[in-house]
Amino acid sequence: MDAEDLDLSGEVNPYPSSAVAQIADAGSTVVTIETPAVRRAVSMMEAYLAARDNTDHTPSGRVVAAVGDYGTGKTHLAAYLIRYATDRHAGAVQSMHLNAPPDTFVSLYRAFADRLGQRRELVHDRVRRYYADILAEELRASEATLPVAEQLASGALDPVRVVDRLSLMESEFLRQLRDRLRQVTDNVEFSQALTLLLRGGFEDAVWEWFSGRPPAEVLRERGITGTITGSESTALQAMGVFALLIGHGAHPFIVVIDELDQLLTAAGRREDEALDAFKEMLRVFAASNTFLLLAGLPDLLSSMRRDVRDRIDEQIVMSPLTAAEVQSYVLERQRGRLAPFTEQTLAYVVELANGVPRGVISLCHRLWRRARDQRSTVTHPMVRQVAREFYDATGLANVQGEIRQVLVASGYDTYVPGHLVGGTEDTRVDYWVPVGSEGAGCAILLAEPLLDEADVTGVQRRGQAIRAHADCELLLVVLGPPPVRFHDQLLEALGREALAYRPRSFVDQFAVEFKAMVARLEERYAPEGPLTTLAPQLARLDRRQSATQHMITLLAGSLDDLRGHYDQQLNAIHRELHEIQRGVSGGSADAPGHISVVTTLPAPVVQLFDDAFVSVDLMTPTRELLRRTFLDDDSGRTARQAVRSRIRLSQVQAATGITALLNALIEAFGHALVDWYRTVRSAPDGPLDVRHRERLDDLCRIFDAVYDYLPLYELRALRELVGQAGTAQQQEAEDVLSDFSERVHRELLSPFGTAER
Amino acid sequence: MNDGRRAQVTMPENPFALPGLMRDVDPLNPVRNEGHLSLYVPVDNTERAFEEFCRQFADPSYLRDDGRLVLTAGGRGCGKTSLINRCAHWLQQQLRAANLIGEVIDVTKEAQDNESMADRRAKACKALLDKLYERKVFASKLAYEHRHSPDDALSMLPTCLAPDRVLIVLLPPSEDLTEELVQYTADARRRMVFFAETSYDLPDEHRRRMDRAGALPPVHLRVGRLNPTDAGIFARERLSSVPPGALPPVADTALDEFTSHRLVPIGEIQRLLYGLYEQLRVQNDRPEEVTFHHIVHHFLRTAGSLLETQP
Repeated sequence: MDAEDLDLSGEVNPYPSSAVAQIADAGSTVVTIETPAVRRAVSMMEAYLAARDNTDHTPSGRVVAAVGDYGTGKTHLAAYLIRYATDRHAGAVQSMHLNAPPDTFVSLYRAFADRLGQRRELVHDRVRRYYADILAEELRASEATLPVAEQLASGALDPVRVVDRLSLMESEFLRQLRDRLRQVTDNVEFSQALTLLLRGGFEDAVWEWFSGRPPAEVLRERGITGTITGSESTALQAMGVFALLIGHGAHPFIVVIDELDQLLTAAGRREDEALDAFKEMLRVFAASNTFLLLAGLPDLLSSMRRDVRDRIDEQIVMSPLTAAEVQSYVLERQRGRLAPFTEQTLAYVVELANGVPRGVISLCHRLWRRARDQRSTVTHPMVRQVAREFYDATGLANVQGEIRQVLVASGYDTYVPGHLVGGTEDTRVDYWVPVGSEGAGCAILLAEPLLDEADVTGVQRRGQAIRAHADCELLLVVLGPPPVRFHDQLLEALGREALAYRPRSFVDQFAVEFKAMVARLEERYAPEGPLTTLAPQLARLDRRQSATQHMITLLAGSLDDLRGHYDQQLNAIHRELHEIQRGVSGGSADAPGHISVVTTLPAPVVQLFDDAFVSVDLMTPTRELLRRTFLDDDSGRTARQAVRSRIRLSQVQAATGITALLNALIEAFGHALVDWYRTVRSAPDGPLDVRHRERLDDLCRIFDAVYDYLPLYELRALRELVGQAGTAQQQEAEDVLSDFSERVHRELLSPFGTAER
Repeated sequence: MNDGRRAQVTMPENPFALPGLMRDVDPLNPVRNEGHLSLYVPVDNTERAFEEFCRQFADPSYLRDDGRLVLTAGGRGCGKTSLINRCAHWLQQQLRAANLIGEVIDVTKEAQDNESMADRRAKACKALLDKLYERKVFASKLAYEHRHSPDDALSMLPTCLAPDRVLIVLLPPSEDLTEELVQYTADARRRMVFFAETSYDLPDEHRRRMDRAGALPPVHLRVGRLNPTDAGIFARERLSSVPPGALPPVADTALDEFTSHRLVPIGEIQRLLYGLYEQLRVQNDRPEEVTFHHIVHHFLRTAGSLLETQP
């Protein structure tokens, strides 16, 4: 989360714009605030590392749970612990970070296996080490072979090559290896599969099985018949096996399972069998010399069975940041300077963010920028204003949409929006849901961020008025968490705690709250008459139906989330590819290297630049061609043939280099224009100064001169790569670029009424 | 004649190189080279296993009515394949005495370790029939025409051969596919002797099923690690063919010391001495005898070369 953002003006905002931690964050810009939670976690890690260094063979495994709300720094803590251990062990630490899916342990295993599959060497190395140990034990028996034994034990010699080259009795050592692995993993099938990794030709079949697929024929014939993902129990058992295998290695092994609450609470469908298996997995991890960090929302622990919870060695609750801690953070971020903040404004930031690190950092980022733009220090009203904008970003309309979604899913589509409970304006609720009789119901009140006394007083008054006019269960939904000091006031006025809107969890939380409210009202207004005796059953049926509808909605929502997630990933990939391509041409680390360099120019000019970059892409079809090589059809075959026959040609490589130069030229031109435009805008309104006009002429001429100087004819070497279409596209692209500077010139001058060059 | 030429002329042969074989790890094979027969040395139980085989096939005439599987078990490098080749050669001779013609077909390289049993059997079967066709031993081509269907081809095979023809088939090593051995036992029909090998222990259950699978129970042969004096016997035998003084002998207990305390197969000793004498035969100043020290030095140098070429 801690990468600094380069502001377009060139100044660096010391605070990350997106205070969302990534486990890969490891740069020197990362700052960790030493909260009590961090200190406890570090002491657990210290104990783990010390136990590992101890050679008395006592299991050193630790299972630690870190719980806290969104943005309280759980993932940051995980990344910090991995870095800490890596520093302590001079880099020799193995780690794995998993985001638990809102699904089953089978899905968790798939994520685990996926990560493991990307680092096969972790497993292969471990198996080879066991094999080397076995071989070393054998060779130590003779004085003649003792030096080789020592070299095997130290890892200097590859046991497979030693056995092969010296014609040692391989079958006997493989048998011993299988027995040893069976002892370590306590699993016959895994010991067999892992042993097969040392025999040529089985690796792919074994890794396919590890990935959760049914065993291939060659594995079944060797006694591996089960499918790891056949059940939650086998999936969890498999994770334990790998922990045993890797954890017994020389290096510390850290596994982080983030957002575990999602998995444990998803629709409340954790079967006892699966929980038993999970509990066993925790035991195995502890016994396997692995450091397992389970992270999740505060209800992670409460959603666990007590006996499962008892397997956790340490439970860490993420602590909110204090004003003093945030002050140290700011000083560190700003290299010892507090300005534009003051002690007081920082304390206010902490109060409005309830000390939640993500909120604090996001506010600091925005406040620093606002202060710089306004050339002022951060003030209390500015903090309030920025916080209001920050929490308001979701928009009431989105929250209303999610509320309606839950009400409908719960079978209460009879809700009344904008209902006046007592006939007066101050008794208006955003949603009224009649429940029971005698005018009772659930009232849902929606409020913008409650940041000061005035905000709270308004809500307080409305709450009291509503409750005075009707017997109702009242729930206040508020954008952003209200500061702690208002909690009691709100509790008294509303009868329950306000529900702060959080994008990812609101639907679930609101559904739970609403269900509880309805249940309480139903209890108070139990039905009477001939159907009274049937009422409980009817109510149960109704609830079941509601639950089903809710489940369908959740599933639909999950699919949307998933789609959104994949869309985001796809966009990120597109962006990265774009960056890479531009990065090649940019050639220096500080150049942004994409179209964003010109975003401050007028929209038509931005469009021209975008077209220009696209044109360069069209002129160099290499990327398209390489994409096609992976297609499983005729065009893929043709592409592969073309690549094989031409990719090594120096003309093709030269052409690719010219593409990079062309991109660099367009970008440099863009940078120069941005500077020019900033100067022009800062000048007094009126006609364009001659000096500015001439400068623009110069810039365009320079672009033309360099463009003409580029040996674009070299690009023709790429034409045949993608067939006739390539030739046509290239011509089209050359047309776009041939009068590029001319059109840019025209667009930039048109607002001044003098577009001729 | 200059010194270099003289050196070339006088350079002794490596006594551990096998006639006609290109690699130091290739097994003895008298079927291909009768000269190998004299090179068998009675070590690691191979002699007893060979005698057991001879006893089982002393009168091979029963093969007119029944087939049989011979399974050789033992660790890698213990001489399983060499023993099988010796047995196959001996059986071929023995059949002649019974007025039968033994046809040795080697399909050991036709299947891979990482293929399924069905694929391995299909490949071995097809290779067997292709080779029989190539040698023109078919009385009827029916089995050959079904060579892509192992069940059909193998069941038809006996009827497609002349009545005095016996197939001696050397199968691909089964390694840990012990289930495959049950199938091969059933596949060995009349006038067919299948030689199989495995480096793995045969579970009792499989042994029982093999006993019931074919018309006759399989012959089980076993080879193992070297006994304390085996390596010395082996070296003396090989070096006995060397003209006196041409190459140094191995000191009496040098190899015994090297092989004691750990599992050593004959393959390891063959390769070790091959490499050692490959150097000795080209060097001008040879020691009086090869001592324990020389052997250890060579072993460590070979291992050290792996260290230097670590990936």
